[in-house]
Amino acid sequence: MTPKSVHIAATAAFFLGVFLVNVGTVRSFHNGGVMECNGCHSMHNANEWGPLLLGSDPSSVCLNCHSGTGGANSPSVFSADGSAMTPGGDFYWLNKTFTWSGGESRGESHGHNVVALDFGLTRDQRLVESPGGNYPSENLSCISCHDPHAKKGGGTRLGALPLTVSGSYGELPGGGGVTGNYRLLGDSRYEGGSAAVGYRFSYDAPVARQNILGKFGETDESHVDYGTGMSEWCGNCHGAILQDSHLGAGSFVHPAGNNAMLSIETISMYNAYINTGDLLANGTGTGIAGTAYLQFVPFERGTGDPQLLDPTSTQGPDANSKVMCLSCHRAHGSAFRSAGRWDFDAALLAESHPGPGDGGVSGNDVLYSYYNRDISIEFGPGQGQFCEKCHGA
Amino acid sequence: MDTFRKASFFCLLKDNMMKKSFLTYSFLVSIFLLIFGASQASGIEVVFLHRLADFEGVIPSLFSRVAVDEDQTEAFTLNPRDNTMRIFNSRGMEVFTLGDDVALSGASDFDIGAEGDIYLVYPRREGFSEILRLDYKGEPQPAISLQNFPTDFQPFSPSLVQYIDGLLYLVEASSMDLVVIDTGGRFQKGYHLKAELLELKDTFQNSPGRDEFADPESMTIFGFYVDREGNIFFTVPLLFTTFKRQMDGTIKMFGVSGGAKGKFGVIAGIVTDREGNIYITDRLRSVVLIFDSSFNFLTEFGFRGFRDSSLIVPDDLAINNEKRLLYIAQGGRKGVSVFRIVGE
Repeated sequence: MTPKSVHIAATAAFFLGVFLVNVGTVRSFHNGGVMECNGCHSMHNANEWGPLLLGSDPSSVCLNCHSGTGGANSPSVFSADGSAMTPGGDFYWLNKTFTWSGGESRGESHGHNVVALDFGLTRDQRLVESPGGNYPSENLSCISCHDPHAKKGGGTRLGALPLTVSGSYGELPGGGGVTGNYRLLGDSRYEGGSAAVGYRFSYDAPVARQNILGKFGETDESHVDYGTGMSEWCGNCHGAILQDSHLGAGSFVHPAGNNAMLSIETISMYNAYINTGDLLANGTGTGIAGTAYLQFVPFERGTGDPQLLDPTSTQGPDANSKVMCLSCHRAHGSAFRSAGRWDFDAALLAESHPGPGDGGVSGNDVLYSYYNRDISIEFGPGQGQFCEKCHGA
Repeated sequence: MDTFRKASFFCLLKDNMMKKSFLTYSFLVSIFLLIFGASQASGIEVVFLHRLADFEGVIPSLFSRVAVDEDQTEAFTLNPRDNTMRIFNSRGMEVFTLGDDVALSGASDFDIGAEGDIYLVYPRREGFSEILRLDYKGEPQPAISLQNFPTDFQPFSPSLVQYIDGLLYLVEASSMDLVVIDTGGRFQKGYHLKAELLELKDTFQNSPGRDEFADPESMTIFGFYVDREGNIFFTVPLLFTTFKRQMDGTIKMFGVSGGAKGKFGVIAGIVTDREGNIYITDRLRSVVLIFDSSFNFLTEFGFRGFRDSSLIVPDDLAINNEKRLLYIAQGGRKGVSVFRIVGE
């Protein structure tokens, strides 16, 4: 090679270098679908856990972005103070054990114990497998439920169309593509996350729609509007709990699922119910269907079309509505046992734990446990369990 | 010799250098720097010293908040998970603990003021945060109530605080409002940083290598720092960008996303030293990046791992400019690592 050739080669390489450096990403890092590879993986400096991850485990990668102070538009699901009042709840409560005279509410009973060692979240010490199923608790992580690669129908590798929009906010797909699954939830082609390879899901992701103006919040007026399939999806790991109807005496399992239709009596009660003190002599209340929706007792609308869902609707249930697992539980975690939306053990919700003076209570725990709503003031000191919303007193 | 030259590019380079083909050499060096993202030559280095400890060993704290008292050469940590505040001497040994008789639960951040006063901020979901002052002995003083706030800063529930020369700088992370109050709680001035960034949207998106401008509602501040000149530095991880709001109101920005040296993963805490060098923690890449005052990348250190000098999800950091010490709080129950800055 002559010196002149070197000049030519160097010049060409120079411009190639400039090109490479300036070809930056101009798309969103993570907009409902798969994110950029280097958001989670590294070709160098990765850990020894698995697929070149930038974390001690899968959940530790997710929480790099999804931890922090909560808020209606904060993507945090793990706060330091319980402020992540998302529809799924806050993993904060997993590290909060509350004690009082004669009782305690252990942190690990407050939700799904995802393992995220970098963030101080460890496996459930009580359970080896998922109740009603056999998903190994030591492998439970964010990607047990959420497919980090946001595949739908196995992804393009298996012939599915590419995602063009998120599946969480009711957007219509662009040309040549499909919407993603709600909240990147794994579908029937998902294998439960790489930590549990071989754990095949049976059910597709549910149909649901969140308010795009409050992506991570939950109130009566802005909430996830559930369509169908939520309980079945939970059944991927908790199948034996999934029952569409009441079982025989002595083996009660609350119905939930696509066939667990709300009865006429239940619909009437939900729509009329305001609080315990409002119940009339005939057992119903003075509420109306148009404003009956209560964030603590959501339900499925019974439609598979996200366009028919309205996350700002305050409308109560109708003849198409169904009870689901999330009518009573939160998917991530809550302040209460069994990830309850309310304290299942308190006869009066004003006496829920965590309560003022309980051991382990800190900061705004009491207020945040009911999503910033003071139950005594809003519902009255005599408010009973929110089971009443469907079943009356 | 001809055969050898054909086989070795570097030998060719050497051959050309021998022929004083300086231009070619310069081109090749430029290409190397561009492709491999090497930093500018810099004399700055950091040396790992220790992790904060007590007599039983390293304290395995998790995402503490950290601050320094340069006058006393002490470091303070606020540990939200066990509601304690620990004080360490210059050698990193714990000398005192607060928390038994002080309500630290719910405090999100703190800083050290004049004469060792401790200012703690307690966010509230609605209304105003509470600011608590402890004296140097840890004795609670009357709470500071926020006063004279203009309506466009109400409500205001900051979660981050920094003390400088009798003033408290408070940041509400989600709204990205920054307010300056005196130690009596009186409003001095405020900035709607999110609104200011929105005015830069076009400039931002037209910059090479930038991602889309994120949904403004989702943007939050992870870390902020005000230097002695009053420049406000803040990190917005969703934009993969660090901003510097100068005293004249102009905002400069730097940083692009990526996994290579000098690029941003999930940026969090930020401080500057007296030379104007900027230190930024990157939670995702588990490094601390150092830039000079002109935003040129100098070097980075840490890297994920369990070696003493490695870091796991570094988050908050504090600097003792007098002793040139960096305190870095992190996850993985790895505690707070202390590094010494050497060189210029």
